[in-house]
Amino acid sequence: MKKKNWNLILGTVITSIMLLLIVVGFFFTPYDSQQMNIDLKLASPSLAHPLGCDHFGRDILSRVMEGAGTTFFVAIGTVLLGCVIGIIMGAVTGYFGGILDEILMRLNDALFAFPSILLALVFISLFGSGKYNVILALGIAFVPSFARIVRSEFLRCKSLDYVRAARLAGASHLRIMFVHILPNILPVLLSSLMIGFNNAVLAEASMSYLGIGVQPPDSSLGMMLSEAQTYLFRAPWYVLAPGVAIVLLILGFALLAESINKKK
Amino acid sequence: MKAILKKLITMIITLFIVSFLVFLAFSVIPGDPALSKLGTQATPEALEALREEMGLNEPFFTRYFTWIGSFFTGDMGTSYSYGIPVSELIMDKLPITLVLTGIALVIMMVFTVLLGIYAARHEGGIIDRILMVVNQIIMAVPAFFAGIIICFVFGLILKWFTPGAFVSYEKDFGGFVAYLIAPAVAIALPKCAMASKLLRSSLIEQGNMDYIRTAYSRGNTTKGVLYRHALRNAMIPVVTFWAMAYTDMIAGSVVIEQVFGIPGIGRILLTGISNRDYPVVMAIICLLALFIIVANTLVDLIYKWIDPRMRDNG
Amino acid sequence: MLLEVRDLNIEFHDHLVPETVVYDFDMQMQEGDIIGLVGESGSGKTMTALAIAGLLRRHDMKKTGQIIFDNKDLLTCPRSVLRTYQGDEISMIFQEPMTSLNPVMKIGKQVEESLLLHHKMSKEERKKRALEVLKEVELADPEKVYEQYPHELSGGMRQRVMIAAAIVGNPKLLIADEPTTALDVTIQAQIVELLKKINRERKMAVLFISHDLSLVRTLCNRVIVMKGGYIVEDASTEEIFLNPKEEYTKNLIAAIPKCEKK
Repeated sequence: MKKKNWNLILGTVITSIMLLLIVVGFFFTPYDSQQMNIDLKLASPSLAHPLGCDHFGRDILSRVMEGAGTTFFVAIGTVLLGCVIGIIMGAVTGYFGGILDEILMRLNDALFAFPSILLALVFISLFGSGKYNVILALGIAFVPSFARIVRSEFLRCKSLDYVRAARLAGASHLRIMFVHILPNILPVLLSSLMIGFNNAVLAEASMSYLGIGVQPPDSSLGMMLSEAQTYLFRAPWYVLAPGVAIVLLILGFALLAESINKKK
Repeated sequence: MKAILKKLITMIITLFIVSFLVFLAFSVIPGDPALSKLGTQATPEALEALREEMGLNEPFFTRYFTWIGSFFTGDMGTSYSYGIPVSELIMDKLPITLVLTGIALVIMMVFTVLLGIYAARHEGGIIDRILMVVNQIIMAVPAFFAGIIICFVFGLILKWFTPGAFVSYEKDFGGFVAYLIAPAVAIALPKCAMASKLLRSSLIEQGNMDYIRTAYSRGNTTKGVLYRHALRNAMIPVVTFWAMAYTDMIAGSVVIEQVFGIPGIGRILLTGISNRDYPVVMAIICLLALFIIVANTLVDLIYKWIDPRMRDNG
Repeated sequence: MLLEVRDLNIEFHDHLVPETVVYDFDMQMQEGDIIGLVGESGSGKTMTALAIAGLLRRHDMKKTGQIIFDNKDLLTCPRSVLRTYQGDEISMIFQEPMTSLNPVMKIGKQVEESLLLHHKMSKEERKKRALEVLKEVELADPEKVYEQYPHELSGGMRQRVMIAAAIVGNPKLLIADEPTTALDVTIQAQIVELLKKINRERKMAVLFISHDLSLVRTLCNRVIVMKGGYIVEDASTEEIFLNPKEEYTKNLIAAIPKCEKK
């Protein structure tokens, strides 16, 4: 008799809905997200426009679908970039140790204490803003946290029996690292990937909100929020739509991550 | 004492690493600060003169040590876009960041302890369950969205404060602090949710420990066991989390300043980034790093005070 | 009569099917008695001990019968009454000295906690009493130990501290739940000697729970053997060892490793 895993169920439902919206949004949106219509300026939600219209009379639902797509794309890109570099760094330092490990980890510690969004701001000020630069900046900023986790897992695994057995069987270091050890740390990696994804969504939204993240003509949820804030009193639904979209995106993955953690 | 000294040394080393990385990052970027300062119409002679004046022709390490050396004497260079010393630009904004994150820190600590203890004592009860659900949702709300909602509900509807009507601390300190409460709540909210959840589970975990049974066997009441025994043990992971949360709140203050129209460090940092005003960006990043490192060192010391087992190993 | 347990039944309800762990347990204890409660793990001896110490007050279990101490039924009395006995009249020491002490509290504070809870005493008085018992349990440097934390002491020292904390209020009954199991053999013997000394000097009754019959033999004057929640045999130590009635007791005795000649 096990209690139902509500985290897993809810997380799956919310994430599926959001992913569906995003995937559909890549190919089809109810209206052209750029099409302006002065008559519909700040129109309240209606059957034709379920989430209302923005200050240019653009359909908010369409814009949220597109913006969520951009946010999702940036977050995935960030996590992948940070994760791949992090895995390589963590694997090499954790597996081989030595002076390289010492130096890289000292650097890592110094960077780890630093909030990743501030780090990303540094990179943005170097590279300039825009979708790909945000991915690059956030991706690099996320490397330390991934490297740290992977390193400690590799440290733990490298002295285990199955690794020794593989060594005796004549497997090369590369093979041991990526064929033998890596699959074993996937569960740990998976939940930190989801948490990383959430942090990336949060960071992208914050940066775009500040106007130094994704730039027009790309739309992003954070950017919409900063535009909507001006019309907070006249059109509260305008703020709510992108805001709730961010919350749901994060909530879904947070619940999934939690259900994975509980299983362990 | 020895441990404190050791911590201070680590702290200084970390500061040097961070400042060095920041300096390195801003040195290897393509582009010539002298050129960006004078514009493209500048004559080569004027450029060369300015480069010499800015010390750009010196070797890298000399420039680093000159920069870091003058940093400690309070000279943080001159802003490219404003032409005034960076220190002048940011020094009177520092108290805003400090007070804002300070209030947020206090709010977070108070509510973590209150909610965490309440939820743990009433584990499985209806309020505990509601708190857990609310916590889970609040954790997913970005601080700046929470800030916008607070502006809407408490500012525009309830009219408890006027969004955008920031009062400078030189004019009216009371009004200044009062205005900062709403943004502080916004950055503290998600952290409160995480920390109280952590304290709750930590307290429940401590409840199953052997020493708790010992405490009961001496005739302690449930309250006595909780406050005299379990709480201090349960706080150990929470304090670590608080340190990380404070770090995030410093970053969050940059964003929340925009939501509430506070002319603080964040605004200067953002204009600095958009204008590629590197001395300003470097100085602010290093200052924030200083805050963060000092805060982390303090927490480490608190940690040692709470957990005697940590005192022996450095 | 110091303690009388009648028809004690303990039943757990935390699973789908209720599970009874102790059936119809009866025992009597006089002042100064030292009784061994013996059985393999899962025989219900620890549950019985916890029930007597009033530490089984969870909601997911059912207990019937009587535990009469000082003319009060500890099983049914309100918690506030029970608390006046816990730590003052009845004390308990546990199996794991490593985890049974609060890791972030100074030894001294833990030893004198019972005094703080049950007696109006000044700080200085409490400290004086704490130092006395720390000396009584043969800790080398009581003043130093008083200021130390549990992680700075060895397992044997921690168990001595546990004993000191248990006897500081001069209780009438000390329940020792496998106090030596987690310790080295040489230290086991010292702890048993110490319990013997305390029993002799303070006339303190001791309920000694163990799975180790050889320890029980050196310490106790009466032995209760439990198996699967039931009492199998209850007799004086001599009788149990010379003339065991039940097959199970015989097997237990036969299982004691012998190093002396038969």
